[in-house]
Amino acid sequence: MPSFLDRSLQFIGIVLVCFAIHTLLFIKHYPVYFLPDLALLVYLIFKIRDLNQTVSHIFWLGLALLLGYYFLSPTPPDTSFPNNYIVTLKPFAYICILALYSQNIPQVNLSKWIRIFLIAYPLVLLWNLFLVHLNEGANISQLMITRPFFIFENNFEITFYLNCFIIVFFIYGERRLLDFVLLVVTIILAGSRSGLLSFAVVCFFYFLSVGWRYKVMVVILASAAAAYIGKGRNISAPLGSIDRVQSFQAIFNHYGDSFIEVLKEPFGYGVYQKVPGYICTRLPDFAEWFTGNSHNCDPLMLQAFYTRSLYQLGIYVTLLIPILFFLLVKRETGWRIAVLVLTPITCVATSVGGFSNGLAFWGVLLSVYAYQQYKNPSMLYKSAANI
Amino acid sequence: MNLSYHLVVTWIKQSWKTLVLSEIICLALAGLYLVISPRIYEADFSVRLPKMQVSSPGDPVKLEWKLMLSGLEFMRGMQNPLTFSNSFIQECMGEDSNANRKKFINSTQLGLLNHADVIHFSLRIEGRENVIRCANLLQVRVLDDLNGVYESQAQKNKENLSTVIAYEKASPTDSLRISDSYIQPQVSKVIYAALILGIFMAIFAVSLKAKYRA
Repeated sequence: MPSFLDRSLQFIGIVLVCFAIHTLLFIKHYPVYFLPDLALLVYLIFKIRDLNQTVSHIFWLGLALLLGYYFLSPTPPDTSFPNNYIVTLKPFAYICILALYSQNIPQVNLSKWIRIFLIAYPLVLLWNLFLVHLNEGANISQLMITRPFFIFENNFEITFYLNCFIIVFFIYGERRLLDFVLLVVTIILAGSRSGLLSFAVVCFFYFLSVGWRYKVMVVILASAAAAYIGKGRNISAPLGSIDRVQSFQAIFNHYGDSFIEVLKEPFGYGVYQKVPGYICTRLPDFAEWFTGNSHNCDPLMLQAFYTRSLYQLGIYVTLLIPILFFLLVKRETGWRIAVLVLTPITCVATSVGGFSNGLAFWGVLLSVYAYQQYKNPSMLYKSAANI
Repeated sequence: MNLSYHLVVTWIKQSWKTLVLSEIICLALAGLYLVISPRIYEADFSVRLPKMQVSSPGDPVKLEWKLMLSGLEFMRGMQNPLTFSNSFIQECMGEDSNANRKKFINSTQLGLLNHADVIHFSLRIEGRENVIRCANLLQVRVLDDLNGVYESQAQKNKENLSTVIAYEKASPTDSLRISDSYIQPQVSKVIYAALILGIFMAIFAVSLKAKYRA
């Protein structure tokens, strides 16, 4: 069989498997939130035998913060529900993992799978829209405001997708317009505002690194994506009507709208602390949405990583987390690629979990691995030979 | 710092005795701490702030409820160790000393509930009976203070001929709640801390041994 036919059949097979997985999840609604972390845990266990690298001192800082917040955070009143504090502690665990496993690359050549994902993901989003149409009889205007996804909420998936795009374009240096068109289609289909923010930053870097013909195309396509999402998600609405802005304002009110008061809580209120009752009452739907009970004011209800981290971990640690991620990634890839690789996770943290989300972290980790596989292919074989 | 699986496995093989001993020592210390440390219980109660119903300044037909004092203002006053009477601290903490006054303030947690018109008090003190007694005293003290504010505000309104439609006195929103069991020390956390400390102690002991043997 000719190799191009073989490759095409393989691709179609993978896309069909993706459709099947998505259809199953669409029908059955299995809980998938911790799936990326489970996959990460499996990877860590599987690769522990290959652990052999120079570990940055940042590992100890990450570990100290993890243990410090776990053991020293003040406990909330006995009458309140326990927090989902593991989610808050996850960024510190990710810092430790990045420090310990940054050179422990997988034996699989990632480039092939990343390229397949770049093409397959928009198709899965279209498949999701088709299923919504079949299931709910949604017309085109209803489908335009649907937020399609593959396995998780699309804010997280877009972050991962952007990381894959960054790998192909900026790390592998494959400057195909088709990949950018696919990215625009994905951003448009997903309708994610935080995705649009990450996309805008990536576009800026893309713009700087291509010729003038591509520059014109980038401006046209990016404007089209921004205009479409802007209309679909009513981006011209007052800033205060956006839920993430509301939750940030509510928390900032708790500090008397004073930045000085924010600075006075150097380590925040701790991982077990609830959102103050009177703030929670202002956002009852958020608490109910995230915890199933409007009286369970878990800071997860604040949604954006920066907002809840500001409250639970304090401003200094909130700012330290992206810096530590940057230093660890920079150590492996250099600062230019590190800035690019961390752009999606940093932007999405304004809206959802960001640095505490497993899939977003996978995007960063894969970027680091892809960079090392590309720059030093012998590592791949060396690693495979160690098995 | 270079770290490898081989290095870790070799270290464990060579130093397992130190590791086990260190873990046993730390767990024994944790056990001792759990036995001798005081049992801290928690009492929770909430109090509704006094309010008055007045006509809105912009629209006289529209009525609105107004707090007689803000919850934050009241909470700040409660955090001053000198505002409590000698007898209160004596009954609550056993002896009226400056240390006990500060300890009492640090054992209380205050927070605003509802629309910032309810203050939640959480008190953590050694012994179940102690915390019940102290929380009851605190509740009475808080209600006295708030009703004092209520009386003086009502008097002021009367003198100024202010048009107040209705008043609402300070009142407890629910009965006193005591924690199901002691909340400190937390057994699981003490054990986890001992296990982690045991690992670090073993690493320290082995490196110390290697240094002075060389």
